[in-house]
Amino acid sequence: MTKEPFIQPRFVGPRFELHTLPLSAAKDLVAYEELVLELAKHLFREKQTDRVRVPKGFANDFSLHIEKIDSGSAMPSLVAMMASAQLFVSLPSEFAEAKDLVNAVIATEADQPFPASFPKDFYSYFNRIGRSLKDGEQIEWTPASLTNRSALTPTKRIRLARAHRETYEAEADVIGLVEELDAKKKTGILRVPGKEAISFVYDDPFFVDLKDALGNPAIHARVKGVGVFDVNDRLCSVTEIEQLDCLSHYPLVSKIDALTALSNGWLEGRGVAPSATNLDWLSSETATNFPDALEYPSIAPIEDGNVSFEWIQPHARVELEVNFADKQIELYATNLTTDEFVEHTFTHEEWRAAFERVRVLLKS
Amino acid sequence: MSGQWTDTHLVFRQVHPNHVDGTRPNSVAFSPMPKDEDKLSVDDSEQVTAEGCWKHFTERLGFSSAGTWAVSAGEIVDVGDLDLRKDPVVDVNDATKNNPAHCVIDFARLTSKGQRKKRAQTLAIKASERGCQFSAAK
Repeated sequence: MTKEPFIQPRFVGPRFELHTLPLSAAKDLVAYEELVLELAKHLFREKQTDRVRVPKGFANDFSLHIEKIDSGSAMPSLVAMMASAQLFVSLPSEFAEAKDLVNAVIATEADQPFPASFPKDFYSYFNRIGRSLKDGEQIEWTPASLTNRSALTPTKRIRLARAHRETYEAEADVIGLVEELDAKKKTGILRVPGKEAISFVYDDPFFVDLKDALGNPAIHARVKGVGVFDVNDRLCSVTEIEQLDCLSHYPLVSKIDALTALSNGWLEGRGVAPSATNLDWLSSETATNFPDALEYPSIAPIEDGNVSFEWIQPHARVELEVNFADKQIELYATNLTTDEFVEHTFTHEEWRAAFERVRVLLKS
Repeated sequence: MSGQWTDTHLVFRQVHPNHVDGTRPNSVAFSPMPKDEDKLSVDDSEQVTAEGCWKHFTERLGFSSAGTWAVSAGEIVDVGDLDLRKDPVVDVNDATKNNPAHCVIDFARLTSKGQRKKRAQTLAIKASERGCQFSAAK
């Protein structure tokens, strides 16, 4: 094997400050390696107009290896590895040309034309190169440059990925109801509230959870993976699921979770914000105990830091006020049709009894 | 309640964005909290419009409101043991915060939380039935 220094990009952002590289970022480098290899072959063919195929031994098991990771933030030193061969004793020049051309493409700003020698089809590699980057992060491919460091940001990556296509790939994080599953094709349909249906492809390990969620309005699926987005940045499909979570009573639990955004003084300068601990507990109890048959209530924070669940009907109101300090669930119900008022106190262990009482009151 | 109120006389209530479910205010929006000392702030519809009192509340006082809802003096009487009275605000330090239309629905005659909840829920039902009088979303 031969080994030659190739490139040392700089990963910039909080995740890289300890001079480590997340495995997800390594995926970006794998895609970069594929682009360099294919681009080098393309450049060779462009020069050798009489050749349709590149000669045997041109690539010779070309691969990029991470030799070390230097500081500032994290700078993986990539070396090019080649199997020794008679025809090509060192790395063909097209690999260095490919590297320079990729750097030039990345360096192109929005108002500049792309290098003409970069094949249009190859822009799709930017669906993967840089996909792990989060907002505020970037990869500088020529960090030593004083004029242009060829910085790849999430925004620039999307611009490159859809330079000659109407869609691009990016990380998807979406929550919806599992509406359809096709076990043979390993595909499904996710219905996201208020949006169009999204198709997805899944692998076997996710089948059991998806089947549990299928057609169940009480279970939402949170899908994280690789998504295809259109020109309006709208998620069209999920082509690879990397993480799946089944969320019980998500519409209700997410409203409780949203109360964590409150700060003290939220109500005319005085409201007490519910504590994160209390809200975590409330979310957990609700996800566990809320009956599937009961309609979801309105959720309202109260000035004293407690939380009210309220079922609203034209002629009636049923409230469960969760009193965190006294560990009580207080029920208050007014029905103007029957002229009844009901008041009852449950302990924090009596969620199911409280919800059952609400169910009965709503029917009256 | 003084004789100045007719049954159909409306008073306006500002509702915090966290206290409305679509177009229907939660009961807590009609329940005086500790800060209110048993007095629920409302505005007299004969002195200010639904939009005008929303603007005063949000722009001059700097508070959040999803909109203006209303209950009538008759509904306040019918629910029992509540007192509606004028309570004009005069701020000696900042005249822009003056509010001659300010009134209060006084819950002080009610001795238990359950009694207060019953009144608040009834007022919320009546306000929902009447509909939003001015929406911040407009």
